[in-house]
Amino acid sequence: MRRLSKGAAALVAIVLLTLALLPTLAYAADDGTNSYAGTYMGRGDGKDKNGKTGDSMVTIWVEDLGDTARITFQVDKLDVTVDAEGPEQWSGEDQVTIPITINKYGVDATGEITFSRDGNTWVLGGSGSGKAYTYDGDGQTALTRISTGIPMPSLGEQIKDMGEAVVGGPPEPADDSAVPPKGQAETQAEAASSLAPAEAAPPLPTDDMFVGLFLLTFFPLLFLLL
Amino acid sequence: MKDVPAIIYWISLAALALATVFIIVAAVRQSVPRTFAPWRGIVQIVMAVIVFGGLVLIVSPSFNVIWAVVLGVLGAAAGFFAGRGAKFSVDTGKLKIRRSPVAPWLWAVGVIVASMTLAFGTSYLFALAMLVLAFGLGAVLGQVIAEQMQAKPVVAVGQGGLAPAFDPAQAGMAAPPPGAAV
Repeated sequence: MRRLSKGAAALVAIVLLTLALLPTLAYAADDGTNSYAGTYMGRGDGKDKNGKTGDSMVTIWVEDLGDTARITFQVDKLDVTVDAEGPEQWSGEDQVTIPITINKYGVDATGEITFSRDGNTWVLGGSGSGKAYTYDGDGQTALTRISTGIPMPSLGEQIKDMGEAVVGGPPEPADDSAVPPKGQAETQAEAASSLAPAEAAPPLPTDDMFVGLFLLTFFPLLFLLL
Repeated sequence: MKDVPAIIYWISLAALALATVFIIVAAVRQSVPRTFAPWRGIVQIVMAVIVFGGLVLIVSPSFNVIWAVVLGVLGAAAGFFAGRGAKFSVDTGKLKIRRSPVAPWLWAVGVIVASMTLAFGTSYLFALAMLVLAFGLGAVLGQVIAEQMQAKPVVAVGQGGLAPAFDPAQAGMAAPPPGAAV
């Protein structure tokens, strides 16, 4: 037993030492002009099959995965987050199009997202058609980049927000008159060091959230029955 | 369509409440004396691994794997030493165990924090909660291994295979009353 304890202590020491010796390689400095990745915000509008129109604030988080891009959408009026992945199709060095298909969580749609270089930054134009819950039609959006990466509020702020979300009751309906942050200066998101325990990432897609909650509810029930 | 955010809020709150109640009752049950069954610990490890692995593969939060491994190893060490404190006793011919409450409650805290951040927090908070869950998973693993190792000689006694060097006190086993069937 004593030998086992010594072995466990040595293992922990080795892992901690390895961690301490890891180089704190932050990402190479990138001012964001070479990559279209980042957080985009703006308005989108659509027209359903009956000719009824509507619009909403839209936030899109874009992660450049090399030959593909992962795009996470949030439409304020729906308050639902969905994501999609598509291949990069470059037209020269200043424009890239990502065709996407979403078929999950009540959304069945296809579309195209195009990023165009605009001086030192990028702008996003998107269009698509399909169904989202009771909406059946098409829509388009034009967004500007507000951050080169995914901005992260302080830990204290996040904990406070979570507390308010848990006890604050259902969210208020989205404000239709909200306007995108026009002319807002683009911020540069800080890259996490290799020693950071976690990285900033887009909000979790709603369907993943429900699968996760199912796992965390169903298995404690089984634990209870054991 | 306008009701979607409210529906999502109430479903999330209900799932969080259910998970919290289930895991607290399960942790209390695992901390009181009960009949020892070797398979129970194995099933617990399997379920804990399914929960953790399922969250990693399906939800895929962006947490640092090295930190998760370190915390998992530390949790396993904590669980192992806590598991060595488990008390075995014989009651009406059955082997009973009173396990340390360390691992069940560490795992319970991990599940509750992960559920809360998953339902209402940002992805960053959820990634941090996964590290708490990694520590809890390690603790469950360490505790079950320690209990199984400790139970082996006790079970051997019950099967009539008493080794001359076996000392019930060393195995954390309370002395059986005179005449009790072992």
